[in-house]
Amino acid sequence: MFSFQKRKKKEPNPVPYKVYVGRKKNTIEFGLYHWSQDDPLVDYLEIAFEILEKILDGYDLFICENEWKPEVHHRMLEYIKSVKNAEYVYDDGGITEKQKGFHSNLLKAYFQSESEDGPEHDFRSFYIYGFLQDVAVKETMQGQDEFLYERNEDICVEYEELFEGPSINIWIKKGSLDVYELMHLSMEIIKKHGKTRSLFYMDNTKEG
Amino acid sequence: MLFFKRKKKGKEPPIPKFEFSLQQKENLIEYVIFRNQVSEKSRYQTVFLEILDALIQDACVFLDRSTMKEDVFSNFMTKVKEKEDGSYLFDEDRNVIEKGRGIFSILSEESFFAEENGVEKKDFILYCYPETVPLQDTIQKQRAFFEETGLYIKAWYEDGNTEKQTLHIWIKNDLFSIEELIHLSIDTCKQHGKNIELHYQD
Repeated sequence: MFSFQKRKKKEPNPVPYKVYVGRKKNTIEFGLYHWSQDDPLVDYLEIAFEILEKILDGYDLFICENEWKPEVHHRMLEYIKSVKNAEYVYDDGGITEKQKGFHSNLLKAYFQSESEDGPEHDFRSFYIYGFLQDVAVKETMQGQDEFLYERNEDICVEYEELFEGPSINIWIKKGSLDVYELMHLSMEIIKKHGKTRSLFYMDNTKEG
Repeated sequence: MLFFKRKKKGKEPPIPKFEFSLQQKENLIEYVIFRNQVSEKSRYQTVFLEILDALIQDACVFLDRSTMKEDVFSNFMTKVKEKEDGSYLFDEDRNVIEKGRGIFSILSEESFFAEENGVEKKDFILYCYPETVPLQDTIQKQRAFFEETGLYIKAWYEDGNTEKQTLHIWIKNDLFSIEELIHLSIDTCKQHGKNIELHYQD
């Protein structure tokens, strides 16, 4: 007599947080990517912001945001105006905040959420330009944009919530962390948050 | 507002590089080193032998090669017989197992450093033990012994076709951390001025 054996349901393997570290001729590249239906955006943000805090330590930062939803833009503007001694410029299209290290009022307002579970995926994006020496805020948004466009920043961060999930890309031209330290700190932070990890390292700077 | 312009990706010729893959398994780490078709084969062998040397140091090693080419086999036999404490097994099919300390032995010298042997397939299996292990009487018994004993470090080199070679290494847990192996891979390639791609997965 045959008996039907129930197939054991395999627990799906958790989707790993992907770390990319690349050594280029004059730049070190870093990336953090993750997308899973099982993981809320908050988990990614906690990990990503902890990594950013470590990597961006010691830089003068210009945190730039161009929110296309007027109500979100307005909310952020109101919030940053209420912060004592905040350094920022703005126009109808965006706000740029200056900070020493990664403690941003602008991003606090940007990721503010009324949901109990925290912010959800909403196609946000922001950019950060970092300088190792002191750099003053310009008087106008146009002047600030032109300055950032012309000046060669020491570090640059791009955050995007894409269809394929949130992503952070960092280009480090001048900094104190080498590739090993970047790998180590990011992998340790992901591990500390109890997530699985994968690492992709690439160095194509050599002749062969 | 500023945006990064992404470079359009065209079809570019492949870049010579060595690829490394690291995976943490339940009881072991799987560490694989690949050579892609455009990278230099002799340098690849130098790189992986250096990596094996760093992992094994002077532990007890058995190098197992099957059906060697006749001239390589006879060169090996001549050299190993000259050595007073030569420790090896062979059979009529020119299968050879040499026991030694560390990766650099007569068999590995003959396989990888003798110029005249450039076209020979050099597949090998390596078994490494922390303590000295006695040599068995025959190739067959020796291979059975390898199967029965637990893993410490084992490597399998696939010479493959002319375009792609692969070295698989299995390392018992807790001998090396993943971080140490990542450093070893990157540093060795850097030292030899070679491009590298490394993948790790928890």
